[in-house]
Amino acid sequence: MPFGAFIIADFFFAGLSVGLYIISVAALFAGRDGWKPVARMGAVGAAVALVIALVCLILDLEQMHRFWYLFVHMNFSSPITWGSIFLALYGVIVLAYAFLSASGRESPARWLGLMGLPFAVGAHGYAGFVLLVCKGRDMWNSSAYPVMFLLAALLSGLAVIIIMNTIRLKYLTSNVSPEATDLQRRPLDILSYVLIFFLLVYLTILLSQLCMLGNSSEDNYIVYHMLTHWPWAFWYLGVEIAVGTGLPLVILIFSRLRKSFVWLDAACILVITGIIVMRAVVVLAGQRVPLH
Amino acid sequence: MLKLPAASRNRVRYAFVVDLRKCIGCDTCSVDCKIENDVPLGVWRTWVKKVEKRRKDGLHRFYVPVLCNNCEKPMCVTVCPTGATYARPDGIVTIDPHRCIGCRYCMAACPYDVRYVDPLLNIVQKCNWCEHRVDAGLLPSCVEACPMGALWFGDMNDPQSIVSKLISENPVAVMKPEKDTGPHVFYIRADRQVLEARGGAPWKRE
Repeated sequence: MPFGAFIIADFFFAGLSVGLYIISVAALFAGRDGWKPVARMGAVGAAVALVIALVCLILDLEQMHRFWYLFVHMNFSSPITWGSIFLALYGVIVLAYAFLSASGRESPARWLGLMGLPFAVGAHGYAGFVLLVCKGRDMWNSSAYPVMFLLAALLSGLAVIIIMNTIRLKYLTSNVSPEATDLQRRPLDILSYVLIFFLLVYLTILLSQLCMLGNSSEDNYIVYHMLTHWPWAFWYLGVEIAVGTGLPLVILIFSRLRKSFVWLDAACILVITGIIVMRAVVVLAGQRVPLH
Repeated sequence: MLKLPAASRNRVRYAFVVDLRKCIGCDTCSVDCKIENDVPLGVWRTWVKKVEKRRKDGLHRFYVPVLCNNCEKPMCVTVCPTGATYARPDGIVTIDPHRCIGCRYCMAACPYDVRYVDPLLNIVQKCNWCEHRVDAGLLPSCVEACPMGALWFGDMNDPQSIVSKLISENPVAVMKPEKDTGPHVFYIRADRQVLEARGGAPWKRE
C-alpha cells in the first residue's frame, strides 16, 4: 500500500490543527472574556498539532532528506505541491499566531488569524484533492473529500477544544466565583451546539456518499460492497458512522447529558475516535480494491 | 483504424503489443526483466496475470503480461510533486532517481498499480520499456526474451512498423480505457473480463 500510518496520522493532526485554528480565530473575534481561554488553547494546540503533522509527513517519505525538493522542483499540476505551499505558509502563520495569542497581544493576533484562514483551509483542503485526483482509486475519486476533510477537521478541533475546556473548568478553575464559572461555561454550550450542527452535516455527507457508491457505476459498487461487509463494515458503518458520529449526536441532543462534563467529554472522545477511524478507512480501504 | 492526434503523427511514439493468442504464461519476460533491470527480490516491473474463464466447452486459461502502459496522459506525471516522473517525447514515462523523494503518490495515483518502492534505492521504480536499451537501438529485454513472440515493441506512428500493423489489423484492447489515461500497451484477443482487475474477486463469487 502506498499510503499508510504516517499519512493517516498526518491527515488527522493537520486536520486537528486547522480545526483548532479556525475555532481559535472565531473565539478571538467573539471578543468576550469567556472566549479568551478558548482562543489561546486553540492557537497553541493548532501549532503543536501542525508540528506533529509535518513530522509525520516527512517521516513518511522514502527519501526524507529530500523533502526540500518540494519547494525547489515544483510541479503545479500536483496537489502535493500546492499542499506544500499552503502548509509552509500556514505553518509560519500559525506559529506567529500562537505566539501572539499566548503572549496576550490580541489585536495583531486577530488580524493575523483572519489573514491566515484561507491558508488554513488550503493546508488541509489539499489533502482531499490529493485523494480525489487518483482516478484509479474509485473510493478516493470523489468530489466530497475536500469538504469532508474540512468538516472532519472542524469536528476534531471542536471536540478537542471542548475536552480541553472541560478539563480547565473542572480542575484548573476551582477557586473562581459561580458567576465567573457561568461566564466560562457559556462558550462550552455554544461550542456544543456548533458540534451538533457540524455532526449533522457530516453525517449527511457520509450517508449520501454511501448511497452514491451503492447506486452508480460497477466500480463504485465494489467499494460500496467492501464498506458494507466484514471487516470494513465494522470500522466504517460501526465505528465511523454509528459510534463516531451517530452516538455523539444522540448524547449531545439531550440537554441534560450535554450539560454533564462527563457525557460531553465522552461524546467528544467518540467524535475524535470516529474522525481517526474515518482517516484510516479512507486511506486504507481506498487502497484495498485491487487494480490489476 | 487507430487515429493519432495531428501533432504526434510525425514523431516517434513507442507502443507495446501483447498477443494473448501466443502467450503461454512462462514468465520468461518477468524474469528477464528482473535480470536486465536489477530488480530486487520481492518486487516486479512486469508479471503475468493468470485468468480463468469458464465456457461451455470447459475452462479456458488466459495469460496476461502486465507492464507499465506508459500512458499518453499519465497520472503519475500529473501528480508527481517534484517532477521526478516525466514523459519523454517518444512516450516513455520514466523516473529521475535523483529527484524522487519517495512520497509514493505516483503509486497511489497509477490506475494500473505497476509502480513499486525499490527496497535498495528507496525510491519509486517501474517498467520504462528498457529505455536504456531502446536508446541504444535495441528492443526491450522482455520482447527479446519471449520464446513465443507474444510481445512486440515499436513506433506506432510509423505505419510500416510491426506494432502499427498488429494494432490496425487485429482487434485490440487496452486496460481500463474508461480512466482516460491513453494506455499504450495493446492486447490482442483480450476481452474485458480478462483485462479487468477483479476477475476472481470475492464479491463476484456470491
